[in-house]
Amino acid sequence: MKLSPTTRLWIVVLGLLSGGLAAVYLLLQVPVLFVPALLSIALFYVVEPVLVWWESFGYTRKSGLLALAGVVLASAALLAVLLPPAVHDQWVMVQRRAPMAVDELNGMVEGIQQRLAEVVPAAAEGVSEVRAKIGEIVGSQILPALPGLIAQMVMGGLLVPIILFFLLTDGRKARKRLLEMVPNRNFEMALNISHRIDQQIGAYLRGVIIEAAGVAGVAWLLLRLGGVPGAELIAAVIGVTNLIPYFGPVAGLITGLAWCLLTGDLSWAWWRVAGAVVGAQLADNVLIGPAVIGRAVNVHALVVIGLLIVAGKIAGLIGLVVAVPLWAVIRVVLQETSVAVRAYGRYIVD
Amino acid sequence: MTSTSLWTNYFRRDEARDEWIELLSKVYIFASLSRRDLEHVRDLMHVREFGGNEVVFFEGQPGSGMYIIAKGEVRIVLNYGSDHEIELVRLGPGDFFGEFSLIDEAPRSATVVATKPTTLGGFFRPDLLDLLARKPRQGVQIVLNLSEVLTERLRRTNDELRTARDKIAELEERLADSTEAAEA
Repeated sequence: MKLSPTTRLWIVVLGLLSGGLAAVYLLLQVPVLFVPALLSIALFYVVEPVLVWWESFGYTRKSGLLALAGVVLASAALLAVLLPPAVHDQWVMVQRRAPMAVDELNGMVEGIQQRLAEVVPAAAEGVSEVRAKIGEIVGSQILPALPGLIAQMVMGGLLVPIILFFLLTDGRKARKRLLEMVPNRNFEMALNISHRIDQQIGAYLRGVIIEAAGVAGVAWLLLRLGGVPGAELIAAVIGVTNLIPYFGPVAGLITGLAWCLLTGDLSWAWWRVAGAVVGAQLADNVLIGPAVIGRAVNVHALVVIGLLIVAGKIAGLIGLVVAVPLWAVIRVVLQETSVAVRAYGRYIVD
Repeated sequence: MTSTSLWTNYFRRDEARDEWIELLSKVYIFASLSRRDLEHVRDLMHVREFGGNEVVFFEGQPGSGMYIIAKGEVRIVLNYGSDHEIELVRLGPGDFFGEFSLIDEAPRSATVVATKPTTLGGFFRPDLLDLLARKPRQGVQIVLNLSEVLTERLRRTNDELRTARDKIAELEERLADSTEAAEA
Protein backbone atom coordinates (compact mmCIF):
# COMPACT_ATOMS: atom_id res chain seq x y z
CA MET A 1 0.00 0.00 0.00
CA LYS A 2 1.44 3.38 -1.01
CA LEU A 3 0.72 6.21 1.40
CA SER A 4 0.07 9.74 0.19
CA PRO A 5 2.76 12.38 0.93
CA THR A 6 0.37 14.12 3.38
CA THR A 7 -0.26 10.88 5.29
CA ARG A 8 3.48 10.23 5.44
CA LEU A 9 3.99 13.78 6.71
CA TRP A 10 1.42 13.23 9.47
CA ILE A 11 3.16 9.98 10.40
CA VAL A 12 6.47 11.89 10.68
CA VAL A 13 4.88 14.67 12.80
CA LEU A 14 3.12 12.18 15.10
CA GLY A 15 6.35 10.17 15.31
CA LEU A 16 8.29 13.28 16.33
CA LEU A 17 5.60 14.19 18.86
CA SER A 18 5.64 10.66 20.31
CA GLY A 19 9.44 10.83 20.46
CA GLY A 20 9.17 14.15 22.31
CA LEU A 21 6.67 12.69 24.77
CA ALA A 22 8.88 9.64 25.28
CA ALA A 23 11.79 12.01 26.00
CA VAL A 24 9.60 13.90 28.49
CA TYR A 25 8.63 10.59 30.13
CA LEU A 26 12.28 9.51 30.39
CA LEU A 27 13.27 12.90 31.79
CA LEU A 28 10.44 12.58 34.31
CA GLN A 29 12.22 9.52 35.69
CA VAL A 30 15.11 11.87 36.53
CA PRO A 31 13.38 14.80 38.25
CA VAL A 32 16.74 16.37 39.03
CA LEU A 33 17.08 17.02 35.27
CA PHE A 34 13.42 17.33 34.25
CA VAL A 35 12.39 20.19 36.51
CA PRO A 36 15.41 22.42 35.70
CA ALA A 37 15.06 21.64 31.96
CA LEU A 38 11.38 22.55 32.00
CA LEU A 39 11.94 25.66 34.11
CA SER A 40 14.78 26.74 31.80
CA ILE A 41 12.57 26.40 28.72
CA ALA A 42 9.79 28.42 30.39
CA LEU A 43 12.30 31.06 31.53
CA PHE A 44 13.81 31.15 28.03
CA TYR A 45 10.49 32.38 26.67
CA VAL A 46 10.42 35.12 29.33
CA VAL A 47 14.05 36.24 28.96
CA GLU A 48 14.28 35.99 25.14
CA PRO A 49 11.96 39.01 24.47
CA VAL A 50 14.00 41.04 26.99
CA LEU A 51 17.20 40.21 25.08
CA VAL A 52 15.52 40.99 21.73
CA TRP A 53 14.44 44.36 23.19
CA TRP A 54 18.03 44.94 24.36
CA GLU A 55 19.41 44.08 20.91
CA SER A 56 16.95 46.51 19.27
CA PHE A 57 19.01 49.37 20.77
CA GLY A 58 22.06 48.17 18.84
CA TYR A 59 23.70 46.31 21.73
CA THR A 60 24.99 42.79 21.23
CA ARG A 61 23.27 39.71 22.65
CA LYS A 62 26.43 38.88 24.62
CA SER A 63 26.32 42.25 26.41
CA GLY A 64 22.62 41.62 27.14
CA LEU A 65 23.46 38.23 28.63
CA LEU A 66 26.20 39.82 30.73
CA ALA A 67 23.82 42.55 31.95
CA LEU A 68 21.22 39.89 32.74
CA ALA A 69 23.77 37.76 34.59
CA GLY A 70 24.75 40.89 36.55
CA VAL A 71 21.13 41.57 37.56
CA VAL A 72 20.58 37.90 38.54
CA LEU A 73 23.84 37.77 40.56
CA ALA A 74 23.06 41.08 42.30
CA SER A 75 19.55 39.84 43.18
CA ALA A 76 20.99 36.53 44.41
CA ALA A 77 23.56 38.39 46.53
CA LEU A 78 20.83 40.63 47.96
CA LEU A 79 18.70 37.60 48.80
CA ALA A 80 21.73 35.83 50.28
CA VAL A 81 22.20 38.78 52.62
CA LEU A 82 18.54 39.38 53.48
CA LEU A 83 17.07 35.87 53.49
CA PRO A 84 19.27 33.68 55.73
CA PRO A 85 18.45 35.48 59.03
CA ALA A 86 14.70 35.39 58.29
CA VAL A 87 14.82 31.79 57.02
CA HIS A 88 16.94 30.74 60.01
CA ASP A 89 14.52 32.36 62.49
CA GLN A 90 11.53 30.74 60.84
CA TRP A 91 13.29 27.35 60.63
CA VAL A 92 14.12 27.47 64.35
CA MET A 93 10.54 28.46 65.13
CA VAL A 94 9.13 25.65 62.96
CA GLN A 95 11.44 23.10 64.57
CA ARG A 96 10.29 24.22 68.03
CA ARG A 97 6.63 24.33 67.04
CA ALA A 98 6.47 21.12 64.95
CA PRO A 99 5.74 18.68 67.85
CA MET A 100 3.14 21.07 69.29
CA ALA A 101 1.56 21.52 65.86
CA VAL A 102 1.29 17.75 65.45
CA ASP A 103 -0.36 17.53 68.89
CA GLU A 104 -2.76 20.36 67.98
CA LEU A 105 -3.66 18.65 64.72
CA ASN A 106 -4.16 15.35 66.53
CA GLY A 107 -6.37 17.12 69.05
CA MET A 108 -8.43 18.72 66.30
CA VAL A 109 -8.86 15.44 64.43
CA GLU A 110 -9.76 13.62 67.67
CA GLY A 111 -12.37 16.29 68.41
CA ILE A 112 -13.89 15.86 64.97
CA GLN A 113 -13.72 12.09 65.35
CA GLN A 114 -15.53 12.18 68.69
CA ARG A 115 -18.29 14.39 67.33
CA LEU A 116 -18.61 12.16 64.29
CA ALA A 117 -18.72 9.05 66.47
CA GLU A 118 -21.76 10.48 68.26
CA VAL A 119 -23.58 11.11 65.00
CA VAL A 120 -22.24 8.57 62.46
CA PRO A 121 -20.09 5.87 64.12
CA ALA A 122 -19.03 4.35 60.79
CA ALA A 123 -17.63 7.69 59.57
CA ALA A 124 -15.48 7.96 62.70
CA GLU A 125 -13.83 4.67 61.80
CA GLY A 126 -13.18 6.06 58.34
CA VAL A 127 -11.50 9.12 59.88
CA SER A 128 -9.30 6.80 61.99
CA GLU A 129 -8.21 4.96 58.88
CA VAL A 130 -7.49 8.19 56.97
CA ARG A 131 -5.54 9.49 59.99
CA ALA A 132 -3.45 6.35 60.17
CA LYS A 133 -2.84 6.48 56.43
CA ILE A 134 -1.78 10.16 56.55
CA GLY A 135 0.53 9.43 59.49
CA GLU A 136 2.05 6.56 57.55
CA ILE A 137 2.55 8.67 54.40
CA VAL A 138 4.10 11.55 56.36
CA GLY A 139 6.34 9.21 58.36
CA SER A 140 7.41 6.82 55.63
CA GLN A 141 7.34 8.96 52.47
CA ILE A 142 7.28 12.73 52.99
CA LEU A 143 9.78 13.11 55.85
CA PRO A 144 12.43 10.73 54.42
CA ALA A 145 12.05 12.43 51.01
CA LEU A 146 12.64 15.95 52.39
CA PRO A 147 16.51 15.93 52.39
CA GLY A 148 16.51 14.57 48.81
CA LEU A 149 13.97 17.21 47.76
CA ILE A 150 16.10 19.99 49.22
CA ALA A 151 19.20 18.58 47.46
CA GLN A 152 17.24 18.45 44.19
CA MET A 153 16.17 22.06 44.62
CA VAL A 154 19.77 23.16 45.20
CA MET A 155 20.94 21.11 42.19
CA GLY A 156 18.09 22.54 40.10
CA GLY A 157 18.99 26.06 41.20
CA LEU A 158 22.49 25.48 39.83
CA LEU A 159 21.39 23.74 36.62
CA VAL A 160 18.69 26.23 35.54
CA PRO A 161 21.08 29.15 34.77
CA ILE A 162 23.44 26.83 32.87
CA ILE A 163 20.69 25.32 30.67
CA LEU A 164 19.10 28.75 30.21
CA PHE A 165 22.44 30.25 29.15
CA PHE A 166 22.88 27.61 26.42
CA LEU A 167 19.29 28.03 25.24
CA LEU A 168 19.75 31.79 24.96
CA THR A 169 23.11 31.61 23.17
CA ASP A 170 22.59 28.57 20.92
CA GLY A 171 18.80 28.05 20.82
CA ARG A 172 18.38 29.75 17.43
CA LYS A 173 21.33 27.90 15.91
CA ALA A 174 19.97 24.58 17.18
CA ARG A 175 16.57 25.29 15.59
CA LYS A 176 18.27 26.25 12.32
CA ARG A 177 20.34 23.04 12.36
CA LEU A 178 17.17 21.00 12.92
CA LEU A 179 15.45 22.75 10.02
CA GLU A 180 18.47 22.00 7.79
CA MET A 181 17.60 18.32 8.11
CA VAL A 182 14.11 18.82 6.63
CA PRO A 183 13.86 17.81 2.93
CA ASN A 184 13.39 20.66 0.42
CA ARG A 185 9.78 19.69 -0.37
CA ASN A 186 8.72 20.19 3.27
CA PHE A 187 11.12 22.97 4.21
CA GLU A 188 8.93 26.09 3.89
CA MET A 189 6.08 24.34 5.67
CA ALA A 190 8.37 23.14 8.49
CA LEU A 191 9.80 26.65 8.85
CA ASN A 192 6.31 28.14 9.15
CA ILE A 193 5.14 25.47 11.58
CA SER A 194 8.19 25.91 13.81
CA HIS A 195 7.79 29.72 13.74
CA ARG A 196 4.10 29.64 14.66
CA ILE A 197 4.52 26.96 17.31
CA ASP A 198 7.40 28.94 18.79
CA GLN A 199 5.28 32.11 18.88
CA GLN A 200 2.22 30.45 20.39
CA ILE A 201 4.09 28.39 22.97
CA GLY A 202 6.16 31.45 23.88
CA ALA A 203 3.06 33.58 24.36
CA TYR A 204 1.35 30.84 26.37
CA LEU A 205 4.31 30.06 28.65
CA ARG A 206 5.00 33.77 29.21
CA GLY A 207 1.32 34.17 30.07
CA VAL A 208 1.42 31.24 32.49
CA ILE A 209 4.54 32.54 34.25
CA ILE A 210 3.25 36.11 34.46
CA GLU A 211 -0.09 34.76 35.72
CA ALA A 212 1.61 32.66 38.42
CA ALA A 213 3.75 35.65 39.44
CA GLY A 214 0.70 37.95 39.46
CA VAL A 215 -1.34 35.53 41.60
CA ALA A 216 1.62 35.12 43.99
CA GLY A 217 1.98 38.93 44.14
CA VAL A 218 -1.70 39.52 44.98
CA ALA A 219 -1.65 36.70 47.56
CA TRP A 220 1.54 38.10 49.12
CA LEU A 221 0.01 41.58 49.35
CA LEU A 222 -3.16 40.27 51.02
CA LEU A 223 -1.19 38.02 53.39
CA ARG A 224 1.10 40.91 54.35
CA LEU A 225 -1.89 43.17 54.92
CA GLY A 226 -3.35 40.43 57.14
CA GLY A 227 -0.05 40.18 59.05
CA VAL A 228 0.26 36.43 58.31
CA PRO A 229 3.79 35.12 59.05
CA GLY A 230 5.72 33.52 56.17
CA ALA A 231 3.64 35.45 53.61
CA GLU A 232 6.41 35.08 50.98
CA LEU A 233 6.48 31.27 51.22
CA ILE A 234 2.69 30.85 51.25
CA ALA A 235 2.30 33.30 48.33
CA ALA A 236 4.98 31.47 46.31
CA VAL A 237 3.17 28.14 46.86
CA ILE A 238 -0.18 29.74 45.92
CA GLY A 239 1.43 31.11 42.73
CA VAL A 240 2.97 27.77 41.70
CA THR A 241 -0.05 25.62 42.57
CA ASN A 242 -2.21 28.04 40.56
CA LEU A 243 -0.77 26.24 37.49
CA ILE A 244 -3.02 23.29 38.41
CA PRO A 245 -6.54 24.22 37.28
CA TYR A 246 -9.38 23.81 39.80
CA PHE A 247 -7.30 21.93 42.40
CA GLY A 248 -4.42 24.41 42.57
CA PRO A 249 -6.15 26.97 44.83
CA VAL A 250 -7.15 24.17 47.26
CA ALA A 251 -3.55 22.92 47.33
CA GLY A 252 -2.37 26.50 47.99
CA LEU A 253 -4.91 26.90 50.77
CA ILE A 254 -3.91 23.61 52.45
CA THR A 255 -0.21 24.55 52.28
CA GLY A 256 -0.93 27.97 53.76
CA LEU A 257 -2.99 26.49 56.58
CA ALA A 258 -0.33 23.85 57.27
CA TRP A 259 2.27 26.59 57.56
CA CYS A 260 0.08 28.55 59.97
CA LEU A 261 -0.41 25.38 62.01
CA LEU A 262 3.37 24.96 62.19
CA THR A 263 3.90 28.56 63.24
CA GLY A 264 1.07 28.39 65.79
CA ASP A 265 -1.00 31.10 64.10
CA LEU A 266 -3.78 28.91 62.74
CA SER A 267 -6.48 30.11 65.16
CA TRP A 268 -6.38 33.73 63.98
CA ALA A 269 -4.69 33.47 60.58
CA TRP A 270 -6.72 30.72 58.85
CA TRP A 271 -9.41 33.04 57.53
CA ARG A 272 -6.80 35.53 56.34
CA VAL A 273 -5.01 32.79 54.38
CA ALA A 274 -8.37 31.67 52.96
CA GLY A 275 -9.15 35.32 52.11
CA ALA A 276 -5.78 35.71 50.36
CA VAL A 277 -6.41 32.55 48.28
CA VAL A 278 -9.93 33.71 47.35
CA GLY A 279 -8.70 37.27 46.62
CA ALA A 280 -5.83 35.97 44.43
CA GLN A 281 -8.26 33.70 42.56
CA LEU A 282 -10.65 36.60 41.97
CA ALA A 283 -7.82 38.81 40.73
CA ASP A 284 -6.64 35.97 38.49
CA ASN A 285 -10.07 35.29 36.98
CA VAL A 286 -11.09 38.93 36.55
CA LEU A 287 -7.83 40.77 35.84
CA ILE A 288 -4.61 38.79 35.46
CA GLY A 289 -5.81 35.76 33.44
CA PRO A 290 -7.74 37.67 30.75
CA ALA A 291 -4.94 40.25 30.46
CA VAL A 292 -1.92 37.97 30.12
CA ILE A 293 -3.38 34.88 28.45
CA GLY A 294 -5.25 36.61 25.63
CA ARG A 295 -5.66 33.51 23.51
CA ALA A 296 -6.15 31.22 26.45
CA VAL A 297 -5.69 27.55 25.73
CA ASN A 298 -9.12 26.53 26.96
CA VAL A 299 -9.12 22.98 28.20
CA HIS A 300 -12.42 21.35 29.13
CA ALA A 301 -12.86 20.59 32.84
CA LEU A 302 -13.27 16.85 32.19
CA VAL A 303 -10.07 16.81 30.12
CA VAL A 304 -8.28 18.63 32.96
CA ILE A 305 -9.45 16.03 35.49
CA GLY A 306 -8.39 13.17 33.19
CA LEU A 307 -5.02 14.85 32.56
CA LEU A 308 -4.39 15.41 36.25
CA ILE A 309 -5.25 11.83 37.16
CA VAL A 310 -2.92 10.40 34.49
CA ALA A 311 -0.11 12.93 35.06
CA GLY A 312 -0.33 12.56 38.84
CA LYS A 313 -0.09 8.78 38.47
CA ILE A 314 2.93 9.03 36.13
CA ALA A 315 4.88 11.87 37.71
CA GLY A 316 3.32 12.82 41.04
CA LEU A 317 3.36 16.49 42.03
CA ILE A 318 5.56 17.53 39.07
CA GLY A 319 3.10 15.82 36.75
CA LEU A 320 0.19 17.77 38.25
CA VAL A 321 1.98 21.09 37.72
CA VAL A 322 3.15 20.44 34.14
CA ALA A 323 0.13 18.44 32.86
CA VAL A 324 -2.01 21.30 31.53
CA PRO A 325 0.84 23.40 30.02
CA LEU A 326 2.24 20.26 28.34
CA TRP A 327 -1.22 19.41 26.98
CA ALA A 328 -1.50 22.97 25.67
CA VAL A 329 1.87 22.59 23.90
CA ILE A 330 0.82 19.28 22.28
CA ARG A 331 -2.45 20.87 21.14
CA VAL A 332 -0.64 23.85 19.60
CA VAL A 333 1.73 21.49 17.71
CA LEU A 334 -1.19 19.46 16.32
CA GLN A 335 -3.28 22.54 15.47
CA GLU A 336 -0.45 24.32 13.66
CA THR A 337 0.56 21.16 11.79
CA SER A 338 -3.04 20.63 10.74
CA VAL A 339 -3.34 24.22 9.46
CA ALA A 340 -0.05 23.94 7.55
CA VAL A 341 -0.85 20.53 6.06
CA ARG A 342 -4.19 21.89 4.80
CA ALA A 343 -2.37 24.84 3.17
CA TYR A 344 0.68 23.00 1.80
CA GLY A 345 -0.52 19.39 1.61
CA ARG A 346 -1.46 19.28 -2.07
CA TYR A 347 1.92 20.74 -3.05
CA ILE A 348 3.91 18.01 -1.35
CA VAL A 349 5.08 15.61 -4.01
CA ASP A 350 7.27 12.51 -4.02
CA MET B 1 50.06 22.13 13.99
CA THR B 2 47.43 20.48 11.79
CA SER B 3 45.08 22.46 9.60
CA THR B 4 42.11 21.44 11.76
CA SER B 5 43.52 22.70 15.02
CA LEU B 6 41.61 25.17 17.10
CA TRP B 7 43.95 28.09 16.40
CA THR B 8 44.03 27.80 12.63
CA ASN B 9 40.23 27.68 12.61
CA TYR B 10 40.06 30.73 14.80
CA PHE B 11 42.04 32.91 12.46
CA ARG B 12 40.97 31.46 9.11
CA ARG B 13 38.28 33.40 7.26
CA ASP B 14 35.23 31.40 6.32
CA GLU B 15 35.44 31.60 2.53
CA ALA B 16 31.93 30.26 1.91
CA ARG B 17 30.61 32.90 4.29
CA ASP B 18 32.57 35.61 2.51
CA GLU B 19 31.14 34.48 -0.82
CA TRP B 20 27.62 34.81 0.55
CA ILE B 21 28.35 38.30 1.92
CA GLU B 22 29.74 39.28 -1.47
CA LEU B 23 26.63 37.90 -3.18
CA LEU B 24 24.21 39.58 -0.75
CA SER B 25 25.92 42.95 -1.21
CA LYS B 26 24.98 42.77 -4.91
CA VAL B 27 21.31 41.94 -4.26
CA TYR B 28 19.38 45.21 -4.42
CA ILE B 29 17.28 44.48 -1.33
CA PHE B 30 20.41 44.13 0.85
CA ALA B 31 22.78 46.41 -1.09
CA SER B 32 22.55 49.36 1.32
CA LEU B 33 23.52 47.28 4.39
CA SER B 34 26.99 47.37 5.98
CA ARG B 35 29.19 44.27 6.01
CA ARG B 36 28.25 43.62 9.65
CA ASP B 37 24.54 43.83 8.84
CA LEU B 38 25.05 41.53 5.86
CA GLU B 39 26.78 39.02 8.15
CA HIS B 40 23.70 39.14 10.34
CA VAL B 41 21.43 38.54 7.34
CA ARG B 42 23.69 35.64 6.27
CA ASP B 43 23.33 34.10 9.74
CA LEU B 44 19.54 34.26 9.40
CA MET B 45 19.49 32.77 5.89
CA HIS B 46 18.81 29.11 5.11
CA VAL B 47 21.11 27.61 2.48
CA ARG B 48 19.38 24.89 0.46
CA GLU B 49 20.75 22.60 -2.25
CA PHE B 50 18.40 21.60 -5.10
CA GLY B 51 18.95 18.92 -7.71
CA GLY B 52 18.29 19.30 -11.46
CA ASN B 53 14.53 19.48 -12.22
CA GLU B 54 13.70 19.75 -8.51
CA VAL B 55 10.82 22.12 -7.76
CA VAL B 56 11.67 24.97 -5.37
CA PHE B 57 8.03 25.90 -4.90
CA PHE B 58 4.75 25.48 -6.77
CA GLU B 59 2.37 28.06 -8.24
CA GLY B 60 -0.47 28.57 -5.74
CA GLN B 61 1.54 27.33 -2.74
CA PRO B 62 1.48 29.69 0.30
CA GLY B 63 4.48 32.02 0.04
CA SER B 64 7.00 32.24 2.87
CA GLY B 65 9.89 34.28 1.53
CA MET B 66 12.52 34.91 -1.11
CA TYR B 67 15.45 32.97 -2.54
CA ILE B 68 18.80 34.23 -3.81
CA ILE B 69 20.66 32.10 -6.35
CA ALA B 70 24.28 31.41 -5.40
CA LYS B 71 25.04 28.68 -7.95
CA GLY B 72 23.10 27.01 -10.74
CA GLU B 73 19.98 28.13 -12.56
CA VAL B 74 16.21 28.13 -12.10
CA ARG B 75 13.34 28.61 -14.52
CA ILE B 76 10.10 30.33 -13.57
CA VAL B 77 7.07 28.77 -15.21
CA LEU B 78 3.30 29.10 -15.30
CA ASN B 79 0.99 26.04 -15.46
CA TYR B 80 3.93 23.76 -14.61
CA GLY B 81 3.55 20.18 -15.79
CA SER B 82 0.50 20.94 -17.95
CA ASP B 83 0.16 21.17 -21.75
CA HIS B 84 -0.05 24.96 -21.41
CA GLU B 85 3.24 25.37 -19.56
CA ILE B 86 4.77 28.83 -20.15
CA GLU B 87 8.37 29.57 -19.22
CA LEU B 88 8.58 33.18 -18.08
CA VAL B 89 12.29 33.55 -17.40
CA ARG B 90 15.51 31.78 -16.41
CA LEU B 91 17.53 33.18 -13.52
CA GLY B 92 21.19 32.63 -12.59
CA PRO B 93 23.69 33.43 -9.84
CA GLY B 94 23.03 36.78 -8.12
CA ASP B 95 19.36 36.85 -9.16
CA PHE B 96 16.57 36.58 -6.62
CA PHE B 97 12.88 35.62 -6.72
CA GLY B 98 9.85 35.24 -4.44
CA GLU B 99 10.41 38.58 -2.69
CA PHE B 100 6.65 39.40 -2.71
CA SER B 101 6.18 36.68 -0.09
CA LEU B 102 8.25 38.64 2.41
CA ILE B 103 5.36 41.11 2.60
CA ASP B 104 2.39 38.75 2.71
CA GLU B 105 1.60 35.05 2.58
CA ALA B 106 -0.29 35.26 -0.71
CA PRO B 107 -0.05 32.18 -2.96
CA ARG B 108 3.05 31.93 -5.18
CA SER B 109 2.32 33.36 -8.63
CA ALA B 110 4.47 30.84 -10.53
CA THR B 111 6.37 27.59 -10.14
CA VAL B 112 10.16 27.69 -9.80
CA VAL B 113 12.22 24.69 -10.94
CA ALA B 114 15.98 24.21 -10.71
CA THR B 115 17.36 23.31 -14.15
CA LYS B 116 20.61 21.85 -12.75
CA PRO B 117 22.20 21.40 -9.29
CA THR B 118 21.51 24.76 -7.66
CA THR B 119 22.40 26.43 -4.37
CA LEU B 120 19.84 28.90 -3.02
CA GLY B 121 19.84 31.12 0.05
CA GLY B 122 16.34 31.44 1.53
CA PHE B 123 15.34 34.55 3.46
CA PHE B 124 11.86 34.14 4.90
CA ARG B 125 9.16 36.17 6.62
CA PRO B 126 10.01 34.82 10.11
CA ASP B 127 13.65 35.85 9.48
CA LEU B 128 12.58 39.36 8.42
CA LEU B 129 10.28 39.68 11.45
CA ASP B 130 13.15 38.52 13.67
CA LEU B 131 15.46 41.10 12.08
CA LEU B 132 12.85 43.86 12.50
CA ALA B 133 12.57 43.02 16.21
CA ARG B 134 16.29 42.68 16.92
CA LYS B 135 17.81 45.17 14.46
CA PRO B 136 14.99 47.58 13.55
CA ARG B 137 17.25 49.95 11.58
CA GLN B 138 18.50 47.17 9.28
CA GLY B 139 15.05 45.60 9.10
CA VAL B 140 13.44 48.88 8.04
CA GLN B 141 16.22 49.42 5.47
CA ILE B 142 15.45 46.03 3.92
CA VAL B 143 11.70 46.73 3.93
CA LEU B 144 12.35 50.12 2.24
CA ASN B 145 14.54 48.51 -0.43
CA LEU B 146 11.90 45.84 -0.91
CA SER B 147 9.23 48.55 -1.29
CA GLU B 148 11.38 50.20 -3.99
CA VAL B 149 11.62 46.90 -5.87
CA LEU B 150 7.86 46.36 -5.59
CA THR B 151 7.11 49.97 -6.60
CA GLU B 152 9.35 49.63 -9.65
CA ARG B 153 7.60 46.39 -10.61
CA LEU B 154 4.21 48.07 -10.13
CA ARG B 155 5.31 51.04 -12.26
CA ARG B 156 6.44 48.71 -15.05
CA THR B 157 3.21 46.74 -14.82
CA ASN B 158 1.23 50.01 -15.05
CA ASP B 159 3.25 51.04 -18.12
CA GLU B 160 2.63 47.68 -19.76
CA LEU B 161 -1.05 47.89 -18.89
CA ARG B 162 -1.25 51.39 -20.38
CA THR B 163 0.46 50.19 -23.56
CA ALA B 164 -1.88 47.21 -23.77
CA ARG B 165 -4.95 49.46 -23.29
CA ASP B 166 -3.70 51.83 -26.00
CA LYS B 167 -3.22 48.90 -28.33
CA ILE B 168 -6.70 47.57 -27.54
CA ALA B 169 -8.21 51.05 -28.15
CA GLU B 170 -6.31 51.31 -31.44
CA LEU B 171 -7.49 47.84 -32.50
CA GLU B 172 -11.09 48.69 -31.53
CA GLU B 173 -10.86 51.89 -33.61
CA ARG B 174 -9.50 49.95 -36.58
CA LEU B 175 -12.18 47.31 -36.17
CA ALA B 176 -14.87 49.99 -36.07
CA ASP B 177 -13.39 51.64 -39.19
CA SER B 178 -13.26 48.38 -41.11
CA THR B 179 -16.82 47.50 -40.02
CA GLU B 180 -18.04 50.90 -41.25
CA ALA B 181 -16.16 50.45 -44.49
CA ALA B 182 -17.64 46.98 -44.96
CA GLU B 183 -21.17 48.26 -44.26
CA ALA B 184 -20.71 51.13 -46.67
